[in-house]
Amino acid sequence: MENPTIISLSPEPISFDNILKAITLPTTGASVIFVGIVRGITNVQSELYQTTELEYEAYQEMAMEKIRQVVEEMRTRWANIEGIAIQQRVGTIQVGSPTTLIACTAAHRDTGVFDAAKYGIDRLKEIVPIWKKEIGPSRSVWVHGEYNPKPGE
Amino acid sequence: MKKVKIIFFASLRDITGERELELEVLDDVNLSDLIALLIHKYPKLEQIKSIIIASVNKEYKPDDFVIPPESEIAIFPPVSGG
Repeated sequence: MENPTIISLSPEPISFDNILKAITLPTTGASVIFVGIVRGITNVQSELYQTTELEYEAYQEMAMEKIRQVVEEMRTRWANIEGIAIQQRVGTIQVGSPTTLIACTAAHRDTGVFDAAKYGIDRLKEIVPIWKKEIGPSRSVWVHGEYNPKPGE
Repeated sequence: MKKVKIIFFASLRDITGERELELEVLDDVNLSDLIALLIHKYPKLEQIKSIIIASVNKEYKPDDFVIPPESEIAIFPPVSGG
């Protein structure tokens, strides 16, 4: 049976049950799901600031290509992974709501599923052209990541 | 001369006030030449030039990559999805 891959980049809310069902095979016995959530209060050097919503923007076509690349990189590194789902929401998302999901399934928990899911979210934050703007009561700022992708990445 | 399409994203779109534009550039223009040209055209980019990332036809390329005619170049800050 072919290993399922589900990717999406859309404003639609994340449907956890449907995604998990779609990446679960008869041989699956473990799944790790990472979910990113809009944080309402952020502590920066002991100073608290409030966020009311995040606004996501993507370079749609390139972002989809790079998400596919992240999936390939995960499969190359962890050959025992069965299903992979990567979903990123775009548009305006309120505090407390899920923004992104990285899910992996495998036969057992010691197959690399935890590491693979972490790798997936780390790579998404490095090479997939998506940006977020933090909107709060007193300010609105684009968040800049820290990674400079190398040629060919 | 060759035509290229430039698209700005996120904070760089706000800084330039431009979403996309077409430019005619010399045939041997490479990626770093093009970024220098854009900084000249939009001087406010100078303040954040160290973080500018560019893609050519949806791929990350080296600074000395000579841009093919009709390319789509995206100019953006380090990504922050998730």
